[in-house]
Amino acid sequence: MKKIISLSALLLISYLAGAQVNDVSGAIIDTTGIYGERQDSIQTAVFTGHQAGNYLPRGKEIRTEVISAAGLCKMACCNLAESFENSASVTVGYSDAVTGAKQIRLLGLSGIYTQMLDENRPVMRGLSAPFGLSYVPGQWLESIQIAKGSTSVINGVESMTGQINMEHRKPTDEKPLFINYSAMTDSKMDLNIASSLQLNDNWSTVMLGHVSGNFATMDMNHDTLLDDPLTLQFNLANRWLYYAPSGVQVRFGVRAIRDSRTGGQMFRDADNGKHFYDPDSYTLTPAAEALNPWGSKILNHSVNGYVKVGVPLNEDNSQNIALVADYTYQDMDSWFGATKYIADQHSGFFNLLYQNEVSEAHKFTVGLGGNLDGYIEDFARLYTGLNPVQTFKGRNLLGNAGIFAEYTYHYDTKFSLIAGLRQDVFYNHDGEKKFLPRFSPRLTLKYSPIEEVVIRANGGRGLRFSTPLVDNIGVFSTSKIFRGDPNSHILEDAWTFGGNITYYMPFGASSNTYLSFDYFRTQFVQQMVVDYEHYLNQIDFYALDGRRSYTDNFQLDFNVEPVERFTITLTARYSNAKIELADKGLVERPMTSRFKGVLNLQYALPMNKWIFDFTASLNGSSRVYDFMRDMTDADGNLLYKNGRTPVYPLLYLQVTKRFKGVDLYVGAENLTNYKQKVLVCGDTGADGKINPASPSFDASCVWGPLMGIKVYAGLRFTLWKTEKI
Amino acid sequence: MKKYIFILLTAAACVAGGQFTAFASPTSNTSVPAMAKPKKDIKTVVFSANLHCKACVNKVMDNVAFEKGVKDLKVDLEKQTITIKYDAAKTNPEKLAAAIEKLEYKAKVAE
Repeated sequence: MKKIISLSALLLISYLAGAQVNDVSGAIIDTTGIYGERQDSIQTAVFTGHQAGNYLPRGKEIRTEVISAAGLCKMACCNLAESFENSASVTVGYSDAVTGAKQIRLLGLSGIYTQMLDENRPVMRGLSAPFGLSYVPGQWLESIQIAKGSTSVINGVESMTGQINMEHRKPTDEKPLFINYSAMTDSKMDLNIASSLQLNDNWSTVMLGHVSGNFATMDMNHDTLLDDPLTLQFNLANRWLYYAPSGVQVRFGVRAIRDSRTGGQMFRDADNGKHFYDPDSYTLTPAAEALNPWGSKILNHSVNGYVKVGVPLNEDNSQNIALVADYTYQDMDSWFGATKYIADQHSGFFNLLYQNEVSEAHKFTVGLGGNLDGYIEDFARLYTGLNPVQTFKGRNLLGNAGIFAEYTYHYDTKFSLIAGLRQDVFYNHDGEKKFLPRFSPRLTLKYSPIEEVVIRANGGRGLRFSTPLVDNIGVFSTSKIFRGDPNSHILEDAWTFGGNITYYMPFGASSNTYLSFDYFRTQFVQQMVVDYEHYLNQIDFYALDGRRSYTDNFQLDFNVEPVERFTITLTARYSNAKIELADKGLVERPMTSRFKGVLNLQYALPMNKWIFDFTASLNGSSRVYDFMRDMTDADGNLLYKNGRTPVYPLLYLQVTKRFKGVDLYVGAENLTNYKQKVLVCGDTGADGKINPASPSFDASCVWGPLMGIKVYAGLRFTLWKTEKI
Repeated sequence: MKKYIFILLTAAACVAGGQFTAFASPTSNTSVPAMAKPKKDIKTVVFSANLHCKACVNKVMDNVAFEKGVKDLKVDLEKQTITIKYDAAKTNPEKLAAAIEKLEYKAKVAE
């Protein structure tokens, strides 16, 4: 306790002394660039009090969309998943109608094929993935970069469709206190606190805190399932930066998360008392009078620690070495009806790099790195009828270690080339072959024939071990029989190729007027297929094994500021995702929307004193699973004509009023009040209600919004560091 | 499908229309002399300041914008300048320089 008080006093004294991280010339160091180019640097040097929300930076070799701090304030953005609502590149959807887990899609493929990075450290892997997007509070972030296609080999080759990198609030931010509170009409509440303190010339730190929860038990569509699970999340992080006069920089940090969520059915007893799912008392064969609500209960705990060290080897830092080490412990205890999945994961990541900028034209990086994931799993699933019990219990070790080299060539600002090679050995302790050597080349080209035009192309290989159950967490929200091997860790293997052309046009009030076109194709050589259609009321897990699986993606982006402080962004994406399913042939990948269009309008009064944001998205149809084709609504109307989900719009509106140090905002989501009509598939019981014990029960057939209009309000308070404090 | 496209376009047009009305209103105000208030003495001053990075720009934007009398603000990181339009009846360059210096930047009126 005394230590904590001493540390707090030290922090306070240092803060009151007004220390800041300075270099020898007195300039505040821009510390984000230790390991390379600053990720969120924006291309224009003139700021008119209106920063672009989403934009495509010119200088990036890989097609990258940046969601800036301004972009993160356009919507409620309570967490990372919601931050992508105004992006067409990334589609966000629920994994199921029960757990509240959200998943993203990039290039028409599940988010498991996108590598998530936290300031260039891989995160949200394995057990951390299903709910990981909910564990990054939007207000902790400074910016997000979405890089499409085959990205750098330096952080491994798990990225297949691209990388999403998050930049958090920095220790060097001169904001000793930031508080954000928001509340939604669905009773979701969010509280975020951040404090960046510069202790002296060498040390600075940022503390980040988050508490959120959902406390109401709403069932607006009267299907007996809660619209949103009851949740309570605590999230705490502390990050440090040490900057030595010699140029050595050390960053380290810790983080802890605790999250609990209860979803599913809620029944009221004769005394109007509420009853929720209880894994201890739930049974597939309840007594006639028993309430026996079906649902899910999930407890997640996570602890993370990391260290990054950068050491310049000469005065101009053209040669340096860097070490990155990261450890994460994730504990997921979950129950879904008559299914138990209790798992622990210990994850280690390390990377050692040597970088040499030989000249302005030539630069290379060489290094070695890898991941090691230890899983301890306890799974049991009861079924009615045949094959009543399915279990597995045990430990497994998955990992990879590799050496890599990446060469970068720049010819003026006209041409750039990045060639990356990586040789890994993948290790699967339970695999038929324990060691799997794999070679992954990646190539990126950027050519700018004239200043206004940028042409990019890239391609390369991606590899990752599948973790079928947690990669497809929705399978638990069904009563279907798991067939095949849901516990096999196949080394998934895909090639992605594509390119982009951006034309920066000479009109508008800013230099950020552009028209951009992308095309990317991802083709799998090996993939874990989770097939809901092979057998009725069963989910079949099997390897692609020579069948075809690919996606083609086309995207158009247009951005203009026709008059000062009024921005129009229009994006449209079309995906052609195909997969060859067993005994079915090549079909459109199910539950994958074919297109998405997003229009965002923002108008701000001078100096951003008022900001008005409007976002409209049009979400294209998806092919539904075969067993959904004949589903009807309560009036007997066919729900999915031609076996496709309907096209639906989503509208968002937000108004922000800014005062000195305080922003107040109110907004609304899903203004058209569009909701997926029937959230649960399967046979109904004698009472006409859903019957979770039926083998056809499936609450994972989610393609649209679960809830209608939601209104929210919030405030952001920022205390800036000034000479008086 | 057509219905949704229509809804989206209508909504977009409404919002865009609203915005353009907002642009138009200041002009229409100035063209109504009957409502004439005493004309404000709006002046512009350019400071050179030791700004280092985007964070400095944000700090200036978020604080100086709310100083009394400030009507508009532009920060140029490359040229290291802060251009302020202000109401001369409410503030002056000295007060504005003090507001910038309070943020720990050196501010000097540019030549």
